[in-house]
Amino acid sequence: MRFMLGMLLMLAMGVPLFAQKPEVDRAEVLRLGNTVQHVDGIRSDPADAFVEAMSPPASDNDKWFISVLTMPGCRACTKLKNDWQSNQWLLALADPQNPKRSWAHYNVYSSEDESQAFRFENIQITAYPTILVQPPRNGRYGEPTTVVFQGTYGGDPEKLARQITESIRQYVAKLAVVPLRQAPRVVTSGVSQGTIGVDPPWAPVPKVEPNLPNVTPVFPDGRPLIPPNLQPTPLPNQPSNEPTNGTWGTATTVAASSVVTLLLALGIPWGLKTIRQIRLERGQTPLLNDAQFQQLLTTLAGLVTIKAATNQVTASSADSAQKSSS
Amino acid sequence: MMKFLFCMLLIALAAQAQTTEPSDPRLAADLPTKQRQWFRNPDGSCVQCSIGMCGIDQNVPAAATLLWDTEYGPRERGGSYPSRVAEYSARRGIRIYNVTGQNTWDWMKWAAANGRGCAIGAGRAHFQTLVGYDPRTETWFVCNNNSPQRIDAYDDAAFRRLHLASGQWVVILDYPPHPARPAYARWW
Repeated sequence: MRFMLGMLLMLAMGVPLFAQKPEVDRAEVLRLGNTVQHVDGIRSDPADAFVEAMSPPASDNDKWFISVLTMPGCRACTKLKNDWQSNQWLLALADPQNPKRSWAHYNVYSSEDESQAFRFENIQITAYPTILVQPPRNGRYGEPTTVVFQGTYGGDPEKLARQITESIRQYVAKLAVVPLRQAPRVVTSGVSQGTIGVDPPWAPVPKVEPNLPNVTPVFPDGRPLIPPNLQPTPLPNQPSNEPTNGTWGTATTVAASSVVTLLLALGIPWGLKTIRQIRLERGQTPLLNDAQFQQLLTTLAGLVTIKAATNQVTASSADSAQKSSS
Repeated sequence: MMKFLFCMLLIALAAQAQTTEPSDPRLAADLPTKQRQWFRNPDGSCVQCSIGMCGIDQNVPAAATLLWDTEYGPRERGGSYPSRVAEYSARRGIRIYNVTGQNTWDWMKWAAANGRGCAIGAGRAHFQTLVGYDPRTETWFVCNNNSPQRIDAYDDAAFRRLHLASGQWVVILDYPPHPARPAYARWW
């Protein structure tokens, strides 16, 4: 009996020790009542007049998307980002300093940022910076995934701005029917759990970009990859001839991609089947059972489909580039 | 030797075939499972986990790295409340809407309709990430940082109970939404 009483006393004393602090302080939420505090990194004092009740901002799902894909140590990337802060031609398309007034949503992504890499798995990046333009998410101008413009930066902001607007003009002109968007199933597959430490599980992009004293400048020719047949509006007092270099490089890429596709489609499956057959004939146990072997062949077939699709884009780009240069 | 070469080939193929799961058009936030798993609640830091997911979705490193020691600031761990969120957001230069009160429903719908995730009170003294709302079916999609491998779907009534259980408080990053994952379509 005395033992039981002792245990009860220990439990009663132990509860406060083990009781966890709440993850969310509900009392402060209730005290604040109806408030909207807009913290913009400059003013944040709750006592400031900046704290006021307000409704949500206007919808911005009708804005186009401009994404700039950069890489560390790329002078052209730095120049483009700087130009986009000050050049009137680029500011007319997107204002990085004032997202609410900006005509388009403007985002900058780094090629080294593992946390964002998944977004561009289906895109072929040939040079940095790469500028992508996509329709708004409200679906008015078709699928928001569609790449309306993909190009690089040759150092001329006006030329880039004109290329972008011309691409959008051509795209909108050809857009006849707004396709309906299908909703696939929510992904709920389980993945192994990880532990959490003091360092993030990916390398975040640097807060301040380092200086680039000894880096070879990368200034691509500025020819857009998409649309490949874009005829830029000639600038006043400026010849409209396009640079013609790079055609052979593109042709080599197309040829190499085709060889890889052929190898994936025919060579590797044939080799695997042959090896399997030989092992079976020798009475050896195959390395994979029938189901696993079929799964492997299916995976290969899937890779071929993806490769063929990307080859098609590259080939059409090269074709158009040749036409425009000739 | 043969077995070794075969294994190497399989590994190479598996590495090439490994791609991120496709995005769900019903969802506002585009957060693959791998990225969500980074924000499994380690120590009662549910508010920072939820905001961190939004940071990944909207490409705001200062918000995405809240849980860790980085050049954006020291790690923010443990329980939280609106004034603490306001303080560390200001210190790290993160622009946020820090919304409490009866109007949180409108803000959550605004965020979802405009392609943004939203850190929300959900469950008793808990924060989760609202990743989408389907107005046609009145279904809310939420990622719990205690089970980030899955997306939970709630009907309107269940979601109201969930949100009210924690008190009406939401945090939305004041940054542009992410673009849809770009894909080539021959339109020209």
